[in-house]
Amino acid sequence: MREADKGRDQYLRIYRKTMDNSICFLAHWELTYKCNLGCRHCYAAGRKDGKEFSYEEARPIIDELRDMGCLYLIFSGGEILMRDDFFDIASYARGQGFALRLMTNATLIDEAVSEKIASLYPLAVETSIYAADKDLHDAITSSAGSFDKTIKAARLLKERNVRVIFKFLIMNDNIGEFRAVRSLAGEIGADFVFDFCVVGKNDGSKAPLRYRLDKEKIKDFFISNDLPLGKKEADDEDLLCIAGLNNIFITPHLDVYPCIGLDVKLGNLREGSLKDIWRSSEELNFVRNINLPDLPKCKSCGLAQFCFRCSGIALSEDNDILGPSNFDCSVAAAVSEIAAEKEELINNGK
Amino acid sequence: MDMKTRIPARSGKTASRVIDGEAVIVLLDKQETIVLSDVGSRIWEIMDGKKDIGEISGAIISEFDATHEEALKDITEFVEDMVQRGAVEVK
Ligand code: SF4
Repeated sequence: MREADKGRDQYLRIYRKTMDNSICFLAHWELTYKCNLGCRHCYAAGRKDGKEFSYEEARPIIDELRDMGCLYLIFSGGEILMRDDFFDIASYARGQGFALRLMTNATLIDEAVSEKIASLYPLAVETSIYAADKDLHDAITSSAGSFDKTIKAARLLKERNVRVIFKFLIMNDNIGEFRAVRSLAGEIGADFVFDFCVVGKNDGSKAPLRYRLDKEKIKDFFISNDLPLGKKEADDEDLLCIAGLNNIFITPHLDVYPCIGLDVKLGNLREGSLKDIWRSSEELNFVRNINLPDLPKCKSCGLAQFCFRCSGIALSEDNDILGPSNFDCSVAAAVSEIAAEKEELINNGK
Repeated sequence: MDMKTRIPARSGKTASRVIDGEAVIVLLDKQETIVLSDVGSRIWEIMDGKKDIGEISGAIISEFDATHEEALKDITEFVEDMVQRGAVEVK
């Protein structure tokens, strides 16, 4: 008998089941708003008033998540290592069978901390690198020396076989650093992902949006780096957001949201249980049940094949959770124009 | 050594959850995922690092209507397979 079946299909079937049956399979938990850096575009700069949860408060929540079927926990901040009890929380979660993913600026990771992180066997440690030019990176984090510390930490983690992911947030003034950061990741053995989705602050401020690329810059970026365009098979794929289907977001004050980017507060864990919110929140049920016909403009949009619409941005920037996200419209328009230009070249035999 | 008295335990390099009777196991160091069948999932659930294979087979016999020999053979094969994959350690 060979009981174990590690087939990807089996896993995808279970994953699908968690979405169809509303099983909370993944939780993203922001552990603190405290941070030792001052990234100029940081979304988490608002909502600082209030009492952050304690280790004693965390344990029953972790137990509840375990009982709900949750397997994956993402810990982010602020800076997770600003909490003195970070390893207590993380070790407790590991003891309850969770797989962890850690988001950190990594500047507080020395040899001893990297050992402790490695002993948690995290699926990945994700860290933002804004430039391979250390002065530019440090200017963006408003912290001299942060680049060197983060890179040193990445090397320490890699030496201990921890998967490291460099996240490159592309903004107006670091767009030229794309290739260099990608090479740096390759040199260190880190994975590399990029994004150009600068978002507003969690207190409603739109100040960070001034760093965001406009449509023409996005187009130039794709063309100059010869990147794949990410055309989808079906129009409706990814127009519907998965927030709240099998995942949840918790803040340091124990407020609960469907997703980090979707400003629809569902409740607070000091006032009620996560299970109750998960089962009974009207807001959550509304978010979960949004279907393509409910999106009046997007459902018949010609750019849908190129669009990865975010309901959170649609709500926070365009004031309608069911409407288009104008930012995503501009990305989709940029990508579709490049695709059309490429097709024309092919048709002309060039 | 008699297999019956050996004690299997989940490896510390795994994360897992049982979803609707099916155990999903993440091999954290290999970044792989395994999904177990109903019997395997039940063995995984019972396997607490304290019960030996004899005790686990007692539970499987009653829950799955298996003979003593069948259960012991299945559990032994399961444990060996999982040890090979790095999901289980045996004391
Ligand atoms: S491009 Fe804009 S309007 Fe079209 S599907 Fe995307 S968000 Fe909706």
